[in-house]
Amino acid sequence: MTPIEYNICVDNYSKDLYRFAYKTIGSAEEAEDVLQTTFETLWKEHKNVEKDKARSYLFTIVYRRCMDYFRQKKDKHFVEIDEVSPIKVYDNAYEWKELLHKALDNLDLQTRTLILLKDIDGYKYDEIATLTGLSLEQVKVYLHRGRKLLKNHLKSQNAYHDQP
Amino acid sequence: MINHNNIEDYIIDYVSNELSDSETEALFEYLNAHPEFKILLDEYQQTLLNEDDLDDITVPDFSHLKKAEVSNGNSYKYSKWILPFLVMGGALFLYSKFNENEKGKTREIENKIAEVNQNSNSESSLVANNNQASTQTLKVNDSIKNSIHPPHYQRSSPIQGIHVTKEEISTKNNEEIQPILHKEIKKLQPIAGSIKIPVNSLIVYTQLIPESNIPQDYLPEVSNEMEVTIGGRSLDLELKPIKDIKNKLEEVKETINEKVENSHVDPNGIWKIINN
Repeated sequence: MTPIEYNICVDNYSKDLYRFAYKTIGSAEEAEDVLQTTFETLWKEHKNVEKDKARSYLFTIVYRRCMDYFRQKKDKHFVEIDEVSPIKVYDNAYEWKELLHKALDNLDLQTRTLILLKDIDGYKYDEIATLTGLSLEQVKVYLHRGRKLLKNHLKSQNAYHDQP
Repeated sequence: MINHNNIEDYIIDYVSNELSDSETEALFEYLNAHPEFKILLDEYQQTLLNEDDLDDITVPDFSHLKKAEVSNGNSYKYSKWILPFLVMGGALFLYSKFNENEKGKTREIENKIAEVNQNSNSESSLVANNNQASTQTLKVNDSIKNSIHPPHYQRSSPIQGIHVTKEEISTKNNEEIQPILHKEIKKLQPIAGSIKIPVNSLIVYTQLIPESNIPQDYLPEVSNEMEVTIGGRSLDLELKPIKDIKNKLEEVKETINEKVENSHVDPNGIWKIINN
């Protein structure tokens, strides 16, 4: 990858990477730091990274940085979906979206990260496995479990009944 | 094979866009046969996040992460090879300059040392023998000459001097002698330097400011200044008398006579006394 291609990566991927990091970590400042170090890593290795694989490479680094972040913080914040907020009726699209994101935020880090990679960044199971270093089966298990938790949470909030 | 136990997994994989065409077809055949599971399909589709859902996240400007670009990839690769040569060339150039500078400094120091050693001799030149020559002795400070001209010029240069006759000295005053000295000094071209001219009690020297290192004892009163171009450079010349020179003449008289009589080049080759 040339410096020009590196700069194109900054232009093309920084937005998706930031949103992924932000949704994973939940802090704009930390997400920004993650991106900073991620692109520093890419720059150091840019001669060894192929242009076509740069996106996966970047998501891999961001994913690992996010995991490191939570390890360092010894985050104990993971709350099972059934423990969260009391029932509330959501009667418009904005509130639906808010509910969905709140459900997502309450997933454990691993599951939340995989769902973001799957839904927002459009990676396939096998790509996520490569990117995260998990096995294909693990990815499937985490994603299936996460999807069920989201559904159950939305159901527990009567969201399906009131959804627009 | 889809059944009641794995239908949910198939639905999740379907909404995740992970089923093949044949699996998708099998899933919908099953759902048509068991419509009670269609509700699951709706529910899971609602769990999907869209990219638009993250639009409310304000993304900072990351353009500062960009790096300076070269014009294209080829020139970048090219510069990788050129750069070491440029660095080496620069280093060699600096080394040669440093070497040259060091040599110049060494030469200058040698000249200064030689000049100090010759102070007594220089005194003799300042007080040239009154009785001996009709033309007085002039001296050229080679150390300053060295600073202007390269050594090879010195080596090939003939002995230089300024010629002022005793008659001229005795019959003309200081102001009148200056044009003569001026003319004589011009003969020194392109040699530049400090030139000391002992003429009876009249001591005339040229000073290449600020390089002259005439001993303080011989600093004269200000009398006049001339300007002469030597070696393409404009030099300020000061022509001045010195007080009490006769006392000093006596002190070094014997040495002077010896030097003048022998008219030799001193061991260091720095000073040349010309005796006419």
